[in-house]
Amino acid sequence: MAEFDIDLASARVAEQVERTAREADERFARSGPVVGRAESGDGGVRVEVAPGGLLTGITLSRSALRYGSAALAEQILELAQRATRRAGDRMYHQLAPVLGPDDENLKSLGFEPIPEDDVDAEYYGR
Amino acid sequence: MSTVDQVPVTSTTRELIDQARARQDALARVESLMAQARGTAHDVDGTIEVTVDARGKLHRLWLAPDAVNWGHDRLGPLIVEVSQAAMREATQDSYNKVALLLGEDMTYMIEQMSGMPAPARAQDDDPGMTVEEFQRQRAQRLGEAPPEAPAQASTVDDDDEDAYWESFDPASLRSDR
Repeated sequence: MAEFDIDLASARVAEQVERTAREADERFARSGPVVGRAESGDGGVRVEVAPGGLLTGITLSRSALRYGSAALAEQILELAQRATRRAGDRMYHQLAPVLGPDDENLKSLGFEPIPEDDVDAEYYGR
Repeated sequence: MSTVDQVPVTSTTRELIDQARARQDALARVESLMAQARGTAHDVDGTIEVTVDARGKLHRLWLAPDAVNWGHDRLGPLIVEVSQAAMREATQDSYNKVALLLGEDMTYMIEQMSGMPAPARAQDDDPGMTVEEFQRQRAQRLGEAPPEAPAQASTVDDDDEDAYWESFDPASLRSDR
């Protein structure tokens, strides 16, 4: 039976991880931090999220509060979801060249490309 | 940083491989566990409540009718702040779930690897509140009358207990009767 060399195997994994991380770092250094953005039709509600979806910024106009709390909460939730998809799309395009387009990790992290004809696509209808 | 204890390796290669396979199986389940983790937080005044998952994605946002009174320039940043608190809860929730599956040592290793220590390990972590305080606040939130004062309840228990011990005959424990 072939001996399973744990040191060699883990050294290989470590080397692979390090190379991938370095390539990804270089890409992010060029692009700056990845942000997902979405705003309401009138621009009164603007939402920014980090990759993964954590809210990092909400900008409200005075008129955005006009329709009350429930409507505003619903609108922020919807915009946050759109911004999250967009951040995922950007992460996908940053990392797919490094990890390969069908990488399972990308998918499990929710970093998936948005089809061009999707309403959440960043430049939809342009 | 804590140091790692030096433990002599006594396992055979076969045991190591079995362990590695068991860990691999467990790790496969970690992902779905982490996806299920949620954290909820609210502001001190209870005007904003946010639920997110361990990656920070917004799942629920509730604003009290008077939340708009914060004004357009304060409300946005407040929601962001509460979301970040909710994410710390979600992170802790996911580690709690993982620790149940993999044990404390393995969970600690994952924390090290991910660079995201469990919030509960932080030096300045809020030690939390007592059960009594939680129940009082919950009753207040739900608009219920506060439950009976625990002090009163325990007095009754004490009396019962005293009465029990007064009439207790230690000889009843002897096995030869």
